Amino acid sequence: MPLSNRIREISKKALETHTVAGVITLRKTSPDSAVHTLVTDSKAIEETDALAPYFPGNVADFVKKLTRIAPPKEKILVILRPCEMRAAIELTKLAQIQNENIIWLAFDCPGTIPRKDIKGKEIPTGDDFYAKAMESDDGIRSVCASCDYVRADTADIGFLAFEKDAPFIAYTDTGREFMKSIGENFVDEAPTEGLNAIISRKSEGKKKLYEKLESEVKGLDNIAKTFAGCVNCHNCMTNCPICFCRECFFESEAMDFEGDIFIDLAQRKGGLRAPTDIGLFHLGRMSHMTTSCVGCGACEEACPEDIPVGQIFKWVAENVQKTFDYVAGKGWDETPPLKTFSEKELEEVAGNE
Amino acid sequence: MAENFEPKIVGFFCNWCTSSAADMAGTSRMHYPANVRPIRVMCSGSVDPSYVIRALLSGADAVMVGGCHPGDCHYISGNYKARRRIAVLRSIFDTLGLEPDRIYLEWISASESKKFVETIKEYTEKIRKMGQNRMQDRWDI
Repeated sequence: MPLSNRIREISKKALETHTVAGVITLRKTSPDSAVHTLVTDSKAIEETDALAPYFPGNVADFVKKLTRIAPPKEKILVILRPCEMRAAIELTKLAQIQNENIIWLAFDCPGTIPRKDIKGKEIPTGDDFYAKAMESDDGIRSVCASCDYVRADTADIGFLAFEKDAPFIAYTDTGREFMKSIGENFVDEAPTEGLNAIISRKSEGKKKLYEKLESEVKGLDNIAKTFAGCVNCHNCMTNCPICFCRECFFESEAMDFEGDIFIDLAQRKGGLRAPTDIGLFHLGRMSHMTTSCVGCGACEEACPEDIPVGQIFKWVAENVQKTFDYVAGKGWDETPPLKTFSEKELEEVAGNE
Repeated sequence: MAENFEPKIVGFFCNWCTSSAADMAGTSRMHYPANVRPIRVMCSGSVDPSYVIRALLSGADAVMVGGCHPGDCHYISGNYKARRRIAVLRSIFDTLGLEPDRIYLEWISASESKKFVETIKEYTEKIRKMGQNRMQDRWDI
């Protein structure tokens, strides 16, 4: 059976057996666009294709919306990519998702195609895409071609699309219970042959990406040039699953001053660009969220000016997280760096001018 | 020009320690370079990294955050949080090639007026050697 049908099959069964009240997955709205949808009617599952290479945003953001005030009383199956699983874990740790009745199904993900490359064409089916993407990263998003976290063993259930026969795996008791109640087979141990081949290719991609950023983005001149086109739309922030503040510092009164102060700034800086505070916004946002950034690139997909903001944040975040020996969303147990501290640490940071 | 360069350093000093140390230095008639522009904050943990970034983008050559020694925070753990935030910021600046040494965190207790004076002197000299912060005179960022 084709890969996509396997996912549709268990989604349908889960709804028909009333194991879950809803399934969140990718559903087409037109040939060239798709959205995450909470599907409650098993007939609508036909219109879904979880594996289609289209990233309308990070689904963790949607789960946050659905569970922040109170989690649902009935169960929901969320079918998601590894980067989305990582964001969901971060948001759960940050008390933005209540995951009591959520069943997470994470599939092996080779990446997605930039939305702007799909506009006016047709989204490839998951099956067509996987056949190609197993062999090459041509045409996929930069953050995907450089992503070595392509399987999330933190979910309840995994769909091991990279492996022979693409088995389902149950990682948790919730997962085992779910698979049993819909009568599907699953394995308990994940084969890694297919996974390793993809990871070694992606690691190469990551090395190349970081080399490119080192030469094209590093340094004040490069940074100014890279962000010059920013129109201050804050799409990157709005679409970021981790940027969850209800009130944002960068949209507050703290961005406004009396006219005299702007004139003074212009005199100091040799002019004052509009929109103002572009550097402050991006560097400031980095300082607020890179400890939990999962590198999903939802920001970059939403940028109207094609600023490689997702690649840059992923690169910066990896180094920030290394400082704390942390990888965002890799596990359920570690505390996000800005939520904790230890008394003896980072001694080189303070008192070391 | 270079030898006349007087660095401007913005200081975010905790009310309970570094600010008091600055006061004591003053009342004891100790001299420290006028290069530092002290801003009293209630806790080093209340200094959002964006304040540091804004200072560096708007005319400061460096930013110094002064907080209580580990274990001495008036609010128990603000200084530990400050340390983590500064570590994040320095890492970002390091990755992007933006001179993390212009961001400096130091623990100075209320009784350490001498350490306060020495620290300001040393850091001012260090920034004088580093030269002007180029971020502040870019109109395009």
